[in-house]
This record gives sequence, structure tokens and C-alpha cells, in this order.
Amino acid sequence: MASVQPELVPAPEMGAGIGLKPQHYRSVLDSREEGLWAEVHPENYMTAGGPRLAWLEAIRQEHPLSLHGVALSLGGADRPDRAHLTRLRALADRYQPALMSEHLAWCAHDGTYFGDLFPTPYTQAQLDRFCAHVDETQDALGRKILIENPSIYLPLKSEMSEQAFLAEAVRRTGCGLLLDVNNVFVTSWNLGQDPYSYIDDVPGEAVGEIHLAGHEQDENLGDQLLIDTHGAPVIDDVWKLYDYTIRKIGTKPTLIERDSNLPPFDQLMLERGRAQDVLEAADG
Amino acid sequence: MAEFHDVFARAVKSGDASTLAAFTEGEPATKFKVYRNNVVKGAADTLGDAYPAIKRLVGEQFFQGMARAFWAAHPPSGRTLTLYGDGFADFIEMFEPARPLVYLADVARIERAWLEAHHSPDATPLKLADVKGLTPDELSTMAPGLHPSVRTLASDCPAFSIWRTNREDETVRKISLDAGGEIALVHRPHMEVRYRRLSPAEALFISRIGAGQNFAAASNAVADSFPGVEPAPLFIALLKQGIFMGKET
Repeated sequence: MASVQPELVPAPEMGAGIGLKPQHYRSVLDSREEGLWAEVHPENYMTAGGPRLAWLEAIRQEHPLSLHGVALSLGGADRPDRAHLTRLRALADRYQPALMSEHLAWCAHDGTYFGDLFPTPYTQAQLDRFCAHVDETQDALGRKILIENPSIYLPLKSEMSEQAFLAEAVRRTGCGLLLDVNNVFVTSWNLGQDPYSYIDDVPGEAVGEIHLAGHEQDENLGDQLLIDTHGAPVIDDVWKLYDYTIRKIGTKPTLIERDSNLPPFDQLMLERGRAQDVLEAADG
Repeated sequence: MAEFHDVFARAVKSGDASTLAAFTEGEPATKFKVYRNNVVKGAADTLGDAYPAIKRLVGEQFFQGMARAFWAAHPPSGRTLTLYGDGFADFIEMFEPARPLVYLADVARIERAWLEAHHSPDATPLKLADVKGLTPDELSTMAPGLHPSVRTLASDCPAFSIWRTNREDETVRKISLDAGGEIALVHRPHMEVRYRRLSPAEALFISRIGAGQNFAAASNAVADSFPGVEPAPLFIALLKQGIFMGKET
């Protein structure tokens, strides 16, 4: 088996993709939409066997694949879990994804896995540690990964901006960025900042993928706090920010993330088609 | 900095955010709740997906309470939630508010068996064609073991029937607890999980093969314990259903 390409540049056929859910396996497999690709959480495929793996194998033959990890806890206090890295490498070797990514966040500590993305203080000390974790991950995987900016609900005392933290991580580790435009919107809203100036700060050449998703208002705090639920359509303000982003940094493979209140495939593909249109218009 | 992670992780477990104030811009309590809720709801939703019949039997609210109590006692340690919930049935058995539902823990054990079978290693079961050319002696001394997906669960109550109607039927069937015990078989010979009720003789045959005995020994055990049962047709039926481990390819 050939070693995994360390390229950050995505396969040229990657336009707009969708987060792959079991309910849509058959439809995605059968779809011949130009530019369509699929993204999964590799953790959901770390099983001994079973139909999920067989579906992924089949879909991988038809569409580019992205492995978007949620459990490495790169922003944590502890080194990446070695057993988890080994499983991740095995999946990458088997499915040869076009892209692999993780988060600027943490989700495990002291033997407990929390299954959510917690915030990281943007300090020099934490930056050193985060970069060491990214280095270790990229060494274990034998390839570069993309790092996603999180949605922030609770601002932490920090020494630099999130953009500066990410830019420095890119410079030190050679990692790329997964720019989640919805997370930029949610974080900026929650912190009272300007999402457009956030986009202006992003080193565009390092971005290898974009995420779009829907968010909702907190049930107690209303519009004072937006929550990145992946449970609703992308809102118009996020589409506008996406247009701006593409004009600013060029076309990038773009994913529609939807994890709850899953719509029928055709409806999800309409939303995905809107991103594909933006990409094709920008390329044309 | 390690201190921050310790404090935050403890706050998520306890739900008390007061210790976090040293690390946050502004008062943490209300916004911290988002993280705590995501974690607890995420675990409870994962359990709800894995135990749909239990959820249906006790209702959403009761299930949420029970799942959250399980999470507090047994938070996930592995880096995937796919098989989270090992031990949920034992927890249910000891969960005081669920005590009157004597069948609940066994129904949960069947749900767990379904999940484990679903994600078990892929393997080709032994087929009728594999044994057709064998001499009677070769067949008798064959000890193939069980297909890795095979799970059996014996219950003192009709747990299988309760599970099945809550899993399959839009309107659940009435099942009397006086119906007595049942043995469930859950397995995945190919891509789809299958399940049915086993006779005690079938269950004995399967357990002997699972213990490494050969077909002759398992058949003799059935003949000894169930004088009215013919072992040969029982064996053929199990073989056709893909219960035994196939030859290594």
C-alpha cells in the first residue's frame, strides 16, 4: 500500500461535500453530483467490523473522503492517546482520505472522554503544548492535518487572539486549517467581535477545507449566546460570510455539516448545492 | 495550565462552575452550562440510540434520568462512544427507581447484544457446503467454535418478546410476565443483525460449541438433557443460520 500523501492541497474534484450519516449511505453511494465528497468522524468507524465499515469502503470508491476527528483532544493537558492515534492511522491507511482534520479544543482528561469540544486558553504555554500535540499527531499519521477553529461559549483569559494562536500553530507545525465559517460567526457573536475581521486575519493559503453548519440560540440566554448545534440549516448571515471568505481566500472544499434534525437527502443536497454554486461561480 | 484542565474537567463532572472564575473572562456559571449540557445530553442520547426499547419502555424523561445517573457513575473512558454503555444493564438492575420493572435489565442485555453483534468482527460463517464432503467421523470431531457475532441471553422472564415488540411494533403487543423465561439469540452472520428465540436444546448446543466442544459432544449433550429432541435437524438448522465459525480463508 502506498504511503499517505502529505499534501494539504485537496483532490481537484472536491467541491462541496456533506457530513455522511448512515441514513444517507445509499443515496451518497448512488449520487453522481459533480464535486460531491463525504466526511465522517473516524471515531464512529473504529469498530472491529460491521456494515458501517462496508458502506464507507463502497462510498470511498465513488467519492473523495475526509476523516474529521473529534477525540484527539489536541488542546488538552495530556499527550494524544497513542492507542487512538494507532487506530486513526489504521483507518487512514485503509480508506486513504483526501483530507484529515481535528480541532483546536480538548475533550478528554485524566482518563475520562467527555465527547464535547472544550475551549483552550490562548496562552503561550498552551500554544507550546498544542503544537507538540499536533507534531506528534502528524508524525504518527505520516501526513499533515487541518485544525478547525471551535465555537466558543465561555471566553477564557488569554494572551493572544484565536486567529493569532492558529496562525502560529500553522507556522510552527506546518499544519493546515479547517476554517469553520459558522464557528467564526458563532464565536464572534458570543464574544461581541467582528466575524469579517476574523476572516481577514486567517492565513488563507493554509486553509484546506471550510465547514458550514447551522446554529441555534441557547434555550436560556436566547440571542445572547449562539450554540453550534449542527441541527439546522445554514443561516443567511453565515452564507454571506462564506461568500466573503471565498472571495478573500479562494475556493476551498466546503462541507455542509448536519448532525441532528437530519433532513432528507435531497433537502441536504439543495443546501450543499448552494455551496457548490458559490465555488463554481468563484472558479468561473 | 494543567490546573485549568483539571478544574474545568472537575466542573463538568460536578456541574459546579464556581471554581472556573479564575480562568474565565466574566462570570462563568451560565455559559459553562452549555458544555456540561452537551456532555451529559450527548452521553444520554448515545445510550438512547443504543437502547431504543428501554427508552420506549420507560419513557423519555425516565430514560434521561437513568442515563444521566449512569454517565455520572460510568463516564466514557474510550475515545469513541460507539460501544458506550457496557454495564448499562447491570446498572439498570441496581437502579432503585427501575426495580419494579423486573424484565428491564434483561431487555437491556439483549439491546447490548444487538449493538455488539452489529459492530463485531466480520467473518464468514460455516456453511452447509463446507461440511457436505466430510465423512461422518470428520463432521463429528469438528469443533468450529461460534461465529464472533453470536450472543445468547437467557432470562427468567419473556425479555426477548418484550424487547422484540418494543423494537419492531408500532403498537406493542401485550406480554404476560407469567409466560415464563426465554432465551434470545442475536447474531450477524453477514451484514444484517438477526435475532430469534432459542429452544433450551438449541441454547445448550450453542453453548457447548462456544466452549470448544465438537459437534458429536454437543449433540450428545442435547440427547442426554432433552431425550425428546433429535440433535441432527437442530444442528443443520443452526448451521444454515450461520451460527458456527467458518473455515479460515
